[in-house]
Amino acid sequence: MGKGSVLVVDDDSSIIDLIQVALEDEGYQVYTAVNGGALQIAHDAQPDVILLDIMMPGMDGIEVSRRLRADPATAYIPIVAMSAHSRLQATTDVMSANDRLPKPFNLDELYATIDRWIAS
Amino acid sequence: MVRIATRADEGDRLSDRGPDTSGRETYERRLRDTEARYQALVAAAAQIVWVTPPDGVVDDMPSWRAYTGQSVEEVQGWAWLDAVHPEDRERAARTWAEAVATRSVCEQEYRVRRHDGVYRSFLVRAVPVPDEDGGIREWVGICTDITEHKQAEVALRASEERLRTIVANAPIVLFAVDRDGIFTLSEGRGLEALGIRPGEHVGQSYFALYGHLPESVEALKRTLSGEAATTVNRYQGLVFETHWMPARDADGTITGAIGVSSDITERAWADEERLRLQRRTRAALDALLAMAQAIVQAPDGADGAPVESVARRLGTLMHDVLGCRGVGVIVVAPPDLLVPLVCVGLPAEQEEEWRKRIAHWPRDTDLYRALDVRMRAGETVLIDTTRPEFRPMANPFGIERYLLAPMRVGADLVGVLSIDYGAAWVSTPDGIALVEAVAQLAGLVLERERLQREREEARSNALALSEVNRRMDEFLGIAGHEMRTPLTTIIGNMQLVQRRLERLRRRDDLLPALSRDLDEAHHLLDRSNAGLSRLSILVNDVLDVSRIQAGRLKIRPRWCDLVEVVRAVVDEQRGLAATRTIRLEFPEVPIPVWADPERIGQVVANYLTNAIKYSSEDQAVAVGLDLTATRARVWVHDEGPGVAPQEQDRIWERFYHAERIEHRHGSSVGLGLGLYISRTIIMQHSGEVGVESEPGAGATFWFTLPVDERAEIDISSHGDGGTRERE
Repeated sequence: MGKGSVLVVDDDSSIIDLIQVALEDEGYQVYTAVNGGALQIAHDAQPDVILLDIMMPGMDGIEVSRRLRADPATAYIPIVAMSAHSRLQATTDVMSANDRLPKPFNLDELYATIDRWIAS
Repeated sequence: MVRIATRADEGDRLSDRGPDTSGRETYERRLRDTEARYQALVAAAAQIVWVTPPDGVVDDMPSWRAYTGQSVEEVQGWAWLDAVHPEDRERAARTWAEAVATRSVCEQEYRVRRHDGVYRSFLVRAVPVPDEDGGIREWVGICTDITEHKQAEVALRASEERLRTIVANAPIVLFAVDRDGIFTLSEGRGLEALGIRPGEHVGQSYFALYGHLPESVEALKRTLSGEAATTVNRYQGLVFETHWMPARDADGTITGAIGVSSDITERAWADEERLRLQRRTRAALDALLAMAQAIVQAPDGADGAPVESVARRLGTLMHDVLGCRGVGVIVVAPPDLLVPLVCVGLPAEQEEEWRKRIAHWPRDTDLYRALDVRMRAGETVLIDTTRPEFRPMANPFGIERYLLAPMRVGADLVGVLSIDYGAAWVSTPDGIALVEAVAQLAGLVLERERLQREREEARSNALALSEVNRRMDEFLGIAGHEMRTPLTTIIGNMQLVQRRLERLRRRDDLLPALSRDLDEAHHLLDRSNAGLSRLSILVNDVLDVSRIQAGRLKIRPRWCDLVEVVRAVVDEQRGLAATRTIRLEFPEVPIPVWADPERIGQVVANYLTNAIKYSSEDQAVAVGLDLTATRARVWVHDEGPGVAPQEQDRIWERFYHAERIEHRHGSSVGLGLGLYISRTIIMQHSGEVGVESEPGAGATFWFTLPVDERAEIDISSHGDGGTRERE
C-alpha cells in the first residue's frame, strides 16, 4: 500500500472497474464512488488524490468539486478531472481542478498523472 | 328688256323706210337721220340691228357688215352665215329658217366673227313685223353681244356649282333657322353621318331637336341676339364644330341664324390623342421613375411579397400608365414555357379563361414561331385578329386588336406584355415607344423579383444546409463523446490484459505449450491495439471537427523543433507500418517554430498515413523538410495514383473523398476529415497547405510554418511541456 490512495468518482461502472483494477495492480489503494457519494468517502478516507469525472448524471463533477473544496477536511485534496468532453479545459478551470485526464487515456498516462499528485 | 323695247320703237320707225314718192328728200333726210341715229345706237349698244324681207333672205345688213367686215355680197341671201362660228352655223341657219317658216319670234345664241376675226357670243332675237293684211312685212332682228355676260354667267354657274358641290360633299352641315328657331335650311353631307336627310329638319324647331345640347342652345340664343358664336359638340359619337352667325335683312334686322357645322371628329380625336399621349407620356415618365425608384430602394430580399402580388401591382401600374383597356403579363420561362402571370382589365371569369388559353397556346404553328422570333428580336407586334394572318389569335374576350410587346432583359426574352387599347387605337411611334419602354421596365422588375426570389431560396437553402451542418456537428460531438468512454474502457482493459500477460510470460515455471499460447495472445492483443489506436484517431478526428465547427479547436503553441516533431511521427508510423519504406530528407539542424507540437505531429501523421494508404506496398514514401528565409516546408510524397487537378481544392473540404481512388493498405476509407483538420491546424499556425500532383504520378502534400530566423532560442529548455492533454 505504499503507493498511496486514490478516490475514483465516475458514473460509469466500467470506467470505475478499469481504473480500480489498473491502480490496484500497481499497488494503489482505491476507493470508488458514484457522484454525490464521493463527498462522504473523501471526508472519511482522506485519499491522496481524487479522480473525478465531470459528466455525471445527478450531481455533476463541478458540483462535487465545489462541495469538496467547501469542506475543510477535503479542500486540500488534489482533484484530477476526467472527461471525454471536448470542453474539458474550460470546465476544469471552472471547477478549479488541479489536473486533467482526457478520455480515452492509456494506462501510462493514468499512472503518470496520479503519481504527479501523490508525489507532491 | 327695256332696250329691246327701245329698239322695237326704232324698228317701227325704221320700218317706215321704203319708197315714199311724196317726199323723197324728206325720206332721204329722215333716212340719213335714222342711219345716223342707228349707227350711234349700234355703236353705243354694241348691237347689231338688221332687217330682212318676209322670206328671211337677206338683202343687206349694214350694221352686221360693219361689225363683221363683210361686203354686201358677203351678207346677201344666206351668205352672212359665213360670219357665224362654224360650230353654231348649222343650228343658226336651221333655227332662222324654222322661225321664218312658222312666222314666230326667233331667239337664239350664236357666235359671230368680228371684223378682226374674234368670235363673240350674241343673243340674236328677230321678230316678224306684221302688215295690215295680217301677213309679214319684214323681219327685224337685233344681235346683242352677250360675251361678257355669258362669261360671267359661266363663271357664276361654275362658282355656284363649286359651292353646291362643296356644301353637298364636304362633311359639313349648313343650316338656317328663323327668329323662332325653326329650321329653314338644313343641307350638307355632314347630315349623312347623323342619319338625317337634307332638308328633313326644315320646319322643325331647333330647340325641340337639339335642346339637349345646352352649349348649342346657348349659342343659338346669343346669335339671335346679334353675336357670332362657335361651339364644339359631341353628338352621336362625332365631334362637330359649329360657327353661328346672325342672318339679317336689308334693314339690318335679325331674321334668324345661320350655322355651319363641320365634322371635326378626326381632328378632335387627333388633338385629344395627342393630349392624352402627352399626359400619358408625362404619367409614364413619372411611373417609370417610380418603378426605377422602387427597384433601387427595395431592400435586398426583404420584400417577401409573392410574385403574383408584385405582378398585379405592376399590371395595374402599367394599365394606368398606358391608359389602355387591358394589360396581360406573360412570363417566358426557359426553355419555351409561357406562364400567364397577371391580367388586368378582364372580368375574373374571363381572366381564368385567359390563363388557360395562354398556358395551352399551340406552339407547333408557323404563326407562333414567327411571333416568337419577332418577340425575341425585340419587336412590338400589333395583332389584328380581323386580318387573315392573325385570325388564329382571335379570342372570346371581344378584343380584336392588341399589342404584343416583348419584355427583354439584355438580349433575353423574359416575358411578353399584351396590351388592349381598344379597337380605335391608332399606332403611333410615340405610343409604341412608350409601350416598349414600359415593357422593358416591367421585364426588369420581374427579373429582379425572380432574382430576389432565387436569392431568397438560395439563402434559405444555405440556412437549411447550415442547420443540417450544425446538427451534424452536434451529433458528431455527442457521438465522439459517447464513443470515447467505451473506447477508454476497451483500451485500458486491453492494456491491463497485456500487462498481466507480460508478467505471466516473464515467469520461469511456464509450460512450453502455455508459453507459446501466451506469445500468440500477445500478438493478437498487439493487433487489437493497432486497431484501437486507429479507432482512437478517428474518434479524435470527429471530435476535432466538431471543435473546429464550434470554433473551439485550441492551439497551444510553444517553441519547438520542427525536425524533432516530424521525426517522432515518422518513427511512430514506421512502427505501425513496419513493412513500408519511409525515407527521410531532413536537414541536420533544428528548426525552431512557434507551434503546437501535438497538432503539427497530427498533421504530419495524417499526411503520412494517407501516403501509406494510397500507395502500394512496394512504393516508398518520402518525407522532407525545406527551409527558406521565412518558411519551413514539410512535405510527404507518395507514388500513388495522385490527385486530379479538379479535386486538388476539394480534398481539403470536410467529408470529401477523392473519386475513383483505390486506397491500398487494406485500411478503411476513413471519414474524409484528416485533410480538413490538417488544413485548419496549419491555418491556425499562419501556415499554408497544398498538394502537387499529376494523376498517375503520385502526390506531394505539403504545409508551411512561419519561422523566425532571429529567434535564437534553446529549444531544449522549452521543448519539454510534459504530457499534453489532447483537447
